Amino acid sequence: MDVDPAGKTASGRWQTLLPEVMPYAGILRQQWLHGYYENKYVKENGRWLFSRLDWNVTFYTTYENGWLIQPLLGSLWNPEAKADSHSISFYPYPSGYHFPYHYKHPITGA
Amino acid sequence: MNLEELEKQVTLMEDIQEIENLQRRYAYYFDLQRWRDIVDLFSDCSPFEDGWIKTPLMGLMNYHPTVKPDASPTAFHPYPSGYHVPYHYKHPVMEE
Amino acid sequence: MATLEELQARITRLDDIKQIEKLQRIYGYYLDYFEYQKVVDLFSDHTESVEMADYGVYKGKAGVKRFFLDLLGGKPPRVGELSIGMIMQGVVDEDPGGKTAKGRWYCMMIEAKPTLSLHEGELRQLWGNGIYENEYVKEKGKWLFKKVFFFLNFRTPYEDGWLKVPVIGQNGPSTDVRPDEPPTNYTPYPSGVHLQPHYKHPITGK
Repeated sequence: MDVDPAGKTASGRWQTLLPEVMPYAGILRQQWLHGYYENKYVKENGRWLFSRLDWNVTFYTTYENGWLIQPLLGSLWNPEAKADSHSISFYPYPSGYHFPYHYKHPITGA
Repeated sequence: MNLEELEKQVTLMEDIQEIENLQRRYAYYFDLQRWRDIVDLFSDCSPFEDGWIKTPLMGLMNYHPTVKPDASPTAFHPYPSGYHVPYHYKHPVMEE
Repeated sequence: MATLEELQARITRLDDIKQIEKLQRIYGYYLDYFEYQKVVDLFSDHTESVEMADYGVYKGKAGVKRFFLDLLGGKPPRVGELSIGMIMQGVVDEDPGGKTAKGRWYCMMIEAKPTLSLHEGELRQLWGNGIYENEYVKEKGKWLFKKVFFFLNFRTPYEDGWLKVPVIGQNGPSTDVRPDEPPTNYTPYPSGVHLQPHYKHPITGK
């Protein structure tokens, strides 16, 4: 978590492992999902709120198969909930994609 | 802000850090099976409820035959009940 | 009522703990992406050692470089290799004096790694779990690692689970990039060995 010097905005990197049960192609499937967050926060009226939520999926697999065998069960895109624009960094495992850090190296500063 | 108000805020931040650590230490003692140390983390007047029970498919690990609880579980509704563990907090923005 | 100096000292201590937690998490994210040079740069030049699982003890900053750059980073990651370490449940305790600290963390691993050796063999998907008991040092206002010790609990194939196959793919100290000393405590499940915490009981003090 890094709060910007003026104390009004912040960035945070998180990761999440999700055990889920969701319908896929009409059938309930038990699923593991993993992803990294790179979020932005803003302080308004003394309160912190999200200003941007960016969740980058690593894998979206079934319990029966696992991430090596089936890294992507399918698209997470829902045609009915129309997005305002396309995703800008959808490169799930095993692409080798490195979801960029918001921070510099704390010691070298690079 | 005067010194008194500053001290209050520092104390609050220290308290939050200590409580978070208390929760984590409890969890480590649990995995280490250091039960006496867990008991010593509790104040003298606290109820303890552990919903440490497997699902019906695996078999219920309820009511130990000799170490009986003082009351029944207050909220045992595992998946797939759809039960939501109530929050202790209000919505931070909407305050509901 | 506290004096300004006392309050400043207490604030510094709170900030130190947050900085150390942040250092530990940044370490985890660099490791996830195999960015070993960046990991090495998080260690003090006066590092005591780094020891993980059954690889053995690598001493000093030179040992840190050999461990991460030569051993773990000896070959670039293969296509399909995955290394996720969720580092969590951190309990950080600063030593009196405010120059050093200790931290205990869990690491939940989600991996796809070769198991014949560090870099050879077919990829298997793995669940892993272990405990870090680390030490930190404050140099020029920044916190760095002084000692990293990782105790492996299990590292099991996804298909099998920890009861059936507690450990796979740990093949002992390397003969190419040798450690300075053999492992001091490699006793994964089901040894029953519990890695005790660095801290005393916060209430009883024992």
